[in-house]
Amino acid sequence: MESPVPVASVTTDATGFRGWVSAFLQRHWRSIIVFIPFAWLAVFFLTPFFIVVKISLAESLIASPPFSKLLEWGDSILPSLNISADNYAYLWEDSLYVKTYLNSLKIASVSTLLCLLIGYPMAYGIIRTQGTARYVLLLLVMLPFWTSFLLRVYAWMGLLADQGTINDLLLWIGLIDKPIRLLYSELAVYIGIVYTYLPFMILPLYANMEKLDFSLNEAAADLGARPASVFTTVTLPMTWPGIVAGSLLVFIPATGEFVIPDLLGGGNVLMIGRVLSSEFNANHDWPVASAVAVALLFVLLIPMMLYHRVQSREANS
Amino acid sequence: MKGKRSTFLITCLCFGFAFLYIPIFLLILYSFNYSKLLPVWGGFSTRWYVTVFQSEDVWDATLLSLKIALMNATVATLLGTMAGLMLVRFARFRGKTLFTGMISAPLVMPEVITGLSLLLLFITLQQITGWPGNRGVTTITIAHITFSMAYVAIIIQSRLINSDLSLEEAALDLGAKPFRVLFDITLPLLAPGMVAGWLLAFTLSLDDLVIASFVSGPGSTTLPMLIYSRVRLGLKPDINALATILIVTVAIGVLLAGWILLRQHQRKLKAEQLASQ
Amino acid sequence: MSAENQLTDFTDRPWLDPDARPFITLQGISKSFGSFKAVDNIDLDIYRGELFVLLGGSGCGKTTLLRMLAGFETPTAGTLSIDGADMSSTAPYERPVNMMFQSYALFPHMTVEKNVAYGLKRDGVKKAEIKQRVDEMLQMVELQDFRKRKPDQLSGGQRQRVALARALIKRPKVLLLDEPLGALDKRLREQTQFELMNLQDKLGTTFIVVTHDQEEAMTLATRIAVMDQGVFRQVGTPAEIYETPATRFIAGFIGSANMFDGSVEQQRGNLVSVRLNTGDLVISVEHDEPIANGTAVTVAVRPEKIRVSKQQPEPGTDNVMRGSVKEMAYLGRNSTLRVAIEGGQVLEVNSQNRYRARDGQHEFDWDDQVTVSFPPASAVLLTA
Repeated sequence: MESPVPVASVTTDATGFRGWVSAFLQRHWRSIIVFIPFAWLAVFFLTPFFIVVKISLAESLIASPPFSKLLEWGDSILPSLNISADNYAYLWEDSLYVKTYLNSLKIASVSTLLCLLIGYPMAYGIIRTQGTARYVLLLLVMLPFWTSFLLRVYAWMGLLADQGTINDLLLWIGLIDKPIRLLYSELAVYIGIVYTYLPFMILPLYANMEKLDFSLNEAAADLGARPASVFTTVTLPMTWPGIVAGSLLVFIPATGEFVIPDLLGGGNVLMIGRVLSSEFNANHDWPVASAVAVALLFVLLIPMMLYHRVQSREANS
Repeated sequence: MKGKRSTFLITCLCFGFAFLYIPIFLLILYSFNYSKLLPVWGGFSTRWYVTVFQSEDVWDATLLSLKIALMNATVATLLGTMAGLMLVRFARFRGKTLFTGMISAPLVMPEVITGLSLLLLFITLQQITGWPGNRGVTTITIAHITFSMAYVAIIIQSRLINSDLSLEEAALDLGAKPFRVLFDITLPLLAPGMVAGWLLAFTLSLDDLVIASFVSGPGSTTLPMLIYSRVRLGLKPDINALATILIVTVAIGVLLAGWILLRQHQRKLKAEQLASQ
Repeated sequence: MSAENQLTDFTDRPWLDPDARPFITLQGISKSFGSFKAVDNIDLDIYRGELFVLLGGSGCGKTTLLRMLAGFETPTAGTLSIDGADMSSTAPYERPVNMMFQSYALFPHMTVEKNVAYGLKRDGVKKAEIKQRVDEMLQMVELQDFRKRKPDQLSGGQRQRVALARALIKRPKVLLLDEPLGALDKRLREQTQFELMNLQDKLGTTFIVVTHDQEEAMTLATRIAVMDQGVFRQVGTPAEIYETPATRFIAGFIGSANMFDGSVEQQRGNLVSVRLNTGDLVISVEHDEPIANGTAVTVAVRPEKIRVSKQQPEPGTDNVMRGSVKEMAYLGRNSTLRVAIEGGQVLEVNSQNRYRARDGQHEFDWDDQVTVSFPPASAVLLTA
């Protein structure tokens, strides 16, 4: 993949400033192309991360608002190097945080599984459709992907409300005689996550299945495999990379999800994204919020690295 | 046997798409509800649309969001294209692994972490250098560019991987210097990917609530922030109207783009067929 | 083959002329990718106006060698010069060399005309001249009517001609062609072969062609280099390579050959008797160089040089063997027979179908008892 051409020396034919600029670009454009995005990410992605780590190691007491105190804290920490793991100890000792992490992981895992169960046959169904119809179906999956996430969550508020569509329907059928609590429950959070993240599952699966060679299925059937074993011995192993990519794309953001538990779960569903936000915005406890963020990142480190590996393997194949 | 299987798949598709689309249709339906109590149907009306169009807040937020989205999409496309080029076409250099990791990390980074860390960066920067004086358009745009460029880079990367390296070699062979090849061959062939990346970055920015909430300051409320603050406490009919407008706009855009791509594809197939005769 | 009994007309065979100056010189060229040696210490002289073919299977290093000539790969060791100028570290865009890519690599976003004009534009040629030269070139490849089309609106053959026109328009000193006919179907390929040869003849440009197709190599080449595992196994004219292969590998690689393993029993003049390892057979072969008795050798005979007959051969015929037909493939013009001879070896033999086969009756049939024979001059003695 590497570019085989050594950059040769360039003769400057034009003179003056423009000539100088053009010669400079000719000679250094590769370095420029590397430097600009690299510098951007170093400043706006890598540095913030270190700041979060640094603040998470500070003392809660000193770092409390207002803003100006941060500077004093910054000045005082340098000479004495006052690192404290108190915030992490606090997270570990307070059972609420541990519970919240576990609950987030549980909700994210179950939602991922549900997305897979719904998304896999859908992706497979789209692949098995021919011609323009397949294209239209794919477009129908893309459409929610492009529309506002927030509005799609909001749409479910109307469905799940006490006097919402689902309760109306159940009352009308006669299955229930008074509205049941759907909104502000864990069930609502599951529905919301599955609903909003379903395209993230279908699209990587589709991309993977698009490369499938269906004559393999026929070959397996020809060799005597029944449909069920064709699926488990041929289709499933071949679509594994798509399953892993799709699952991680749902699982990772779902774990840190904030909007869905806030709007559909109300205060009743513990999820770490919401705790982080309220720790920061409501309690103004920056060190603890930072520690929550670092711990969340730590929890997600393995799935994130896994995703990176899947992604780069896909890119290299 | 085969018939049974496809019935199963068709059922799955029907239920799946019903699941995806019924909530959206109901949302649109209730935007025409006269009643202020949202789930209760009170007759057809377009009065909430009037409310939306007369609301100055909505206009301000929309314009702000569009402004941010435009700037974000443009810068993110530039940076993302550079990053994609570097990932695929450049030889290994020191720090490339770090760079590759940094490019793809924002894709999966939980929004709350990105938002929190960028806010803390802006505050730290302000205390050291005095910039940014107040948080708003600039800080939101910077935050959006940081995660959007990752998406653009991925699109560009996959297009480059699938493109034929010998096209660039042919240009070199015909006497074009590498910098010239970039503009004559590489970038024109990447143009569709760049357009796709631009559009994706644009929508990502219009869509973002969490990161913008962290890094915005007083007085700069983006459209998602406005919607969020209204719906937190329950259903609002005017938000249904606003949502309908937004969804229909996006749907028209996506369908139009899809139609154009389909037409292009069909035309290309036809041309190939003609040529092979 | 020696040049002494010829008069000094080397125009068609400059490689035999001791005074000729090579046009392209490779000295000790190697290219490694990691621990893999794609090209291993190659020396080669190519002369002006040659149509030189690099022939070999996939992964033999032929494409890497071509890419080093174009400048896309830098040799790990060795030097490379074209027309007296050292090119070892010259960038591709500064070499007097153009390439026709295997995939053609036509720029999909440019019309035929723009594709062809691209090289001249990069050289800063004046607009009027570009137009005139593009017109000429399109005329030559008969694509005047397609100038405004994009590559995806062209057929395979037309694309190939655009690629050729684009590579030739800069009047390169050397044209490199990577599997130039690989993407065409059989009929078009045969026709295009001759077009390519005529063009080369007309322009006098030195062509270097990479191919895996030996028929194509035999048709096109002034000389062929057979490549395997990064080295040249033999360099020579098509006839030399076919009729006097240097090694067992070459004999087996180009066309097919029957190989008899044995050892030298005696040499009388230019006739060598070889006792075969299997069976109780002695065959005689013409061989000019002296060879010691007992040397392990291989005798190679081409299938079409073996006579097969149901009759007893006349007395005094050399190298007669008895056998039976085990397999037969009727190919129309001729038939390929597999004949098992005494000792068990199976020979491939070509037999001209001089009579029409009727009612499924062929001249030879399964299990027919036959005799095969070949004159000593038809076989080659190989020591490697």
